[in-house]
Amino acid sequence: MPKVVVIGGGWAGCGAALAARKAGADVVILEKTDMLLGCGLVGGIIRNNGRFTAAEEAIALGAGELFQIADRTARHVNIEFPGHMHATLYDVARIEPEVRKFLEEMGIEIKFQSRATDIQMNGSYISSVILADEKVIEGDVFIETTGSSGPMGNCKKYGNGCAMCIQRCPAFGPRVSISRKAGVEDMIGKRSQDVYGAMSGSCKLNKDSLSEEIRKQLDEEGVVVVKIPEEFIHRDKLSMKVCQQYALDEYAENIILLDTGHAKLMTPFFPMEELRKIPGFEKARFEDPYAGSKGNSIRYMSMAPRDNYMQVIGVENLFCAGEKSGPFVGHTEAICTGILAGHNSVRKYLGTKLLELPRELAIGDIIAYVNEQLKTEEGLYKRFTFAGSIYFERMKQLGLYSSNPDEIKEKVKSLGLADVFNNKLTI
Amino acid sequence: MEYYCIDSGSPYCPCHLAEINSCLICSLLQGQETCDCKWHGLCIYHEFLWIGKKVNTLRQDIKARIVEKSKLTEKLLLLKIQVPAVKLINQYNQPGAFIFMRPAGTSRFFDMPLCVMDADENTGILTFAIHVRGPKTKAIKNTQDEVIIRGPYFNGVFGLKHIKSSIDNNWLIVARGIGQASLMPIIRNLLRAKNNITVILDPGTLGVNPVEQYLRETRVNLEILSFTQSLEETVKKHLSQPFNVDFVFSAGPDKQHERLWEILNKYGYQKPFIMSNNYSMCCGEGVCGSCITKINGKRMRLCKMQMESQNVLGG
Repeated sequence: MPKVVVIGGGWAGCGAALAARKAGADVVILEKTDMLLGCGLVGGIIRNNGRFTAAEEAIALGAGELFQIADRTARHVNIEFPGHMHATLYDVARIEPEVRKFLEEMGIEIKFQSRATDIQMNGSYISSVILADEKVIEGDVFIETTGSSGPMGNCKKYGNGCAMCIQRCPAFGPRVSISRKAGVEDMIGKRSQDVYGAMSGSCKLNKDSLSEEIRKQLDEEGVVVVKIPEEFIHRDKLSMKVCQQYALDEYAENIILLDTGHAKLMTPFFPMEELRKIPGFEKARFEDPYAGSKGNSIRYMSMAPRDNYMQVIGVENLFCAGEKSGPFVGHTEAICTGILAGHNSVRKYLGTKLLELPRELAIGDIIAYVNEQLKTEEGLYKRFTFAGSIYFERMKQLGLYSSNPDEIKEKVKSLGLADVFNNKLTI
Repeated sequence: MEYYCIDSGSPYCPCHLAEINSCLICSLLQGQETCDCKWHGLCIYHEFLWIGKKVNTLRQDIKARIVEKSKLTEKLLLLKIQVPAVKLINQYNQPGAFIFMRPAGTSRFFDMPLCVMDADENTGILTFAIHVRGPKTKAIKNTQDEVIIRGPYFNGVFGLKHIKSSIDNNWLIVARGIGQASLMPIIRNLLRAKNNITVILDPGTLGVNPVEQYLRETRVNLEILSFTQSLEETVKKHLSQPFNVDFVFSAGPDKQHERLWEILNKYGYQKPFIMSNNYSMCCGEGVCGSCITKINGKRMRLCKMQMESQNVLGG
């Protein structure tokens, strides 16, 4: 049985572990913190716009369980907010234990507080990963899903410093670029010619710190939109954020809150002094990042060149997914790239032909499209998500977008890919 | 391989190396564009910007009066000096602490590293044992009243974390010649943490054991190696005793480190090995380069780089 080592237990890593396990591998996840899901611990938005299509494709392809857990732990289903349709908001306080239990019951081993810091190579193969405590973890195939945000120095140099986000680098140590340790140079996203990275696009307020009226509306409707007084509007913040699908004027002029368990505020950060002058926010305080007054994490600092099978170019047995594999935004994008990487890791071990998802599917198209875009001059300035901005436009134009699960299922079936990720490949 | 800068996170960090893109740890402060450090609990880049891109406290030259100078043998000097800043004195009592010293009125060429044998926190008196051999030590020998010291520095021992974290364990210490001078702060630290210690003293070419008297006042098991005894037989005896040896510390010349490591390997010892740092140093600040050694293909400035002994021995 192949041993697949997944480095990073965020959504992408969970997706990769799930698919590798289904394909018949012995799987271990190395996670530097004390919980799975990474930034997904403070996320919550799925199924908005084209993400609905992607989630249904993943389900039809046979590896949709993580979406089903998110559906099951939803606080709000089928809601709308500016620019976004049929979103589901999962409960950030409930989802992690559910995912953990599910993966463990599948027989996946999860090692917490196990930070990969180096590797041992054998030619162009990785033979093992070395943890911060110098333990050696051997494997046949490796999948890097360490993300692209932080560490602290990057957040300081390209942002406003460590804002104490959910990644908790000072406590658990920073992520290390494994592909770089294997001799593959990282690609770095840009905001302008010499400014790297992009800032995470949302911060979260403690719901109990908001007025009763706001709280009630969040509980009942999932969304609250509050006009920001003119003197506190900072349109410039839109350009620095990761989530171009939320870089609309409405997001600069209004406070848009989503109920994910926290009150998710769709802007990278918000000075406390200004926030508390807005009616209903007089007692507001941040839940993530803890220093949400001053900044947020910086991302896209460490992306690996890869092919459309999700294999890192230049290393024979290293795959990648999530933000590590390109300027993707979102959990859906992480999970979808993760499951392909996980599945192909087993094919790689077996020496069978790797699977490339066809461009008739949104997942297949985004994986290939991002690769094409990264080869262009402007590619490193762009971000890609099923949920909006350039890629959702493309989905609509090419007819890749659908909000009809039966139609999507039929399409996957007609491509001969129904349940493809459910096939155990090993004997 | 695990390593870190002994000064990182201390009041002496960030240092002048950060200012000139030569930080030993931080990739951003080495002029690279992204983070890739051997994380040791804090972000030096963050600290550097936080204090306004400035260097933190620098160790200053201070004048100290000689209060006692005695000749134990023709080649061995015992020197006691009075340090003015008494509040800092507990830092000189740290395991692995050392200073640079030169006679007052001489140039910095005469700076030499000296480990602190004893630091009296009440009186502010530091004690050193000096093996008189070359120009620097001869100059100290000829000095009557004042010396210039700069310190404290902390990287006098490789494997320091074991000394600081060991509680209620069995230690075997082999100390030879002038290498014994580094023992006392370490032994006091280990005794405070209820460790059980056996010390084998080897006078070496020095002919005497400078710390013997100090050790007799503590509760360590003391053994003096005579000319007829072999190190191998003695170590073997201790390794095969019913209680386990948890840590071995070698204080002495590199030859002893290598020999002891060989013996330990021969008898299947697989626990941590701690040893004194004997690399040449002129500044202690990662600048002069006299301590540079290639380890795992990487140039390491060993006056500041703290790591496990076997990495140094293998390097």
